[in-house]
Amino acid sequence: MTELIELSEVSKHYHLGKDIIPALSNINLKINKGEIISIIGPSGSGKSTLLHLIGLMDHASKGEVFYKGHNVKKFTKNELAHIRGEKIGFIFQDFNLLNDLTIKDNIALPLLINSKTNKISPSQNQKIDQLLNQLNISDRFNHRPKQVSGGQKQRAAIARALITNPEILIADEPTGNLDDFTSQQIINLLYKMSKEQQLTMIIVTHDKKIAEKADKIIEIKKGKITKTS
Amino acid sequence: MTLALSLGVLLMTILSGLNFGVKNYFLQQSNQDKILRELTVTPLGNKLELSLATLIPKAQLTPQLIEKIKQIPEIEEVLPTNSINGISSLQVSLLGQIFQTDALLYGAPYQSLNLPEISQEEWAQYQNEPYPAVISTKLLDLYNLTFANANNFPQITKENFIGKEITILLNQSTFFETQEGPTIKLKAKILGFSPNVKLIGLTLPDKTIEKINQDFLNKAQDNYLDAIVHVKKPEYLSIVSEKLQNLGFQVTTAEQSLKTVEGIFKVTDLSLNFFFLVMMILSGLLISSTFLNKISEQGREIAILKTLGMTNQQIGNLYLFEASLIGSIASLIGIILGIIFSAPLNIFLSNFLSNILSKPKTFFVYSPILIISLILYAILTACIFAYIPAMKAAKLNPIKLLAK
Repeated sequence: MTELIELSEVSKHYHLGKDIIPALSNINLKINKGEIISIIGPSGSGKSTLLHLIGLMDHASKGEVFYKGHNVKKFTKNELAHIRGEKIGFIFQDFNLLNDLTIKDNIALPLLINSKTNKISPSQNQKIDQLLNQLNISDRFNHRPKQVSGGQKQRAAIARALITNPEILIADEPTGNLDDFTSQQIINLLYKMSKEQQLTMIIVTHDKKIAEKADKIIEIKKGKITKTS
Repeated sequence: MTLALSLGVLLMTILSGLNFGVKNYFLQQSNQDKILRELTVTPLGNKLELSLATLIPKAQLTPQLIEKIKQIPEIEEVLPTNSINGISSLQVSLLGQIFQTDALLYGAPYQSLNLPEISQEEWAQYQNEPYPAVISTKLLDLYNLTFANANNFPQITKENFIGKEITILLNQSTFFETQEGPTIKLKAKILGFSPNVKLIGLTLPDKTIEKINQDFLNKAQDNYLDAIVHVKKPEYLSIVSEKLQNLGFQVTTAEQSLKTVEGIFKVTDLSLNFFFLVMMILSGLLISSTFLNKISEQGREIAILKTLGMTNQQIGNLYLFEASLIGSIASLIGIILGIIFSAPLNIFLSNFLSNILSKPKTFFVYSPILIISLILYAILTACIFAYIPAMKAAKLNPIKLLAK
């Protein structure tokens, strides 16, 4: 199996005035292509910090993070931004859609950011329409995020994460703001699409039922991996 | 923010247009081909010296010297100015009142008047009364702007004077008790106003002055006050100037006068630039603070864009692009309103200065360079002052912003 991300003896701490707050300590983790991993743990255990390191949004205070065998410390800020834009898809609990844009424009945003011409090609436009259909929100494409339901927002966020054909999908409590029925629908959709597209997915959740669907479950407590199953 | 910048550009448009219009007028006046080929010759020590109310020339320019000047090959024509060899007063009835004052009587050839309204034939009627006469444009402006205003006297227009008969009182002073002979009354008729004639006094044809000197003052015309010299080409100015200086004359070129005018405009330009700088700082500070507020409000959006792969540079450029857009829109609004407002202002200024002859027809002139400069100025102001907020936005930490 191809190794995508590796964390070796990674620790992360934050400074709060003179105090040092540890968030993660001595984490060792390998994430392979096509793997679905769920991260569970109580609030404040370091799940999101771990996700930020995997998503190349943050640097480790100690230890090394490798992306496809390359130490991420050697990447420039721009290179990291490009990897995030093209190879990693993010799904957030709060959806994080831009309220001034339509659903379709929100989905097209990563393409525009990565485009050199600031234009969407006809094939990309076709891909957006395809995702809108697949995620069952094609009738909402011209609506603003405030005009659609939570489930539809999250579907739009999933489409936005998938539009660049990423290698890794990072979902930070994607059902945290949804009711049980919609949660179930979204999770089923995420797992289905990940399998279909052979995506690597890392999902942070409180819900054990959701976690159990993953290939690997990582339990984290007080900044340490306590269990891997 | 756009409104404040527009207001700044509007003020700058009006002031720049006015500055450019007035400057353009004076430079055009000084840049006429004839003026560029012109120099004034006076013998050394013959500078006019102001002594209380009268101007006393110290020395004279003789006809022999004039002939010497005419022999210089690069010279096209020599136009000497003469004056009467005695004292005189002028009497004129204007607006129901009789004005009388001491005045110098000068004589000038037709070519030196630079007054197309008067024909050469009119000026050639030098032998018969009323003699043709012109007054300095600047004298009328001087009277209206200072003397009339200070003494609450009525303003005099060009029309009040044109065609008016003036009585010349030879051998008589209005202010001093001097009598060089019996008072002789002569009539002159004002034909127009010339910017080229002597400021204080009445200018008649040079031959009329010769005639007055000969017939009434019994003095033959043997010297001149000064002479205007026109060279054949502007590039001959320096050669001729040197030759005349070698002959013992003092020479003033139009180029020197132009430099004086340009010097004055440098001061107005500097003052205007200082004003623009203050405006730039004030509107710039407003732009900076608005952008800082905007960025703190849009923190979450910035974080989302960064997460989706936008680089720091792209984020910074996004705000700089917005700033340049604001600058462009503000400058266009300001310039359009400025041009619209300058039309009634032009009418107001023309009416307000209706009695002033040395004034441009259009006070506000907008050149493409001026408009482009104003647009660039507004864009630059917006971008310079949005730069620090834009860089701040670029460096924001998306994790902290998303955690909020």
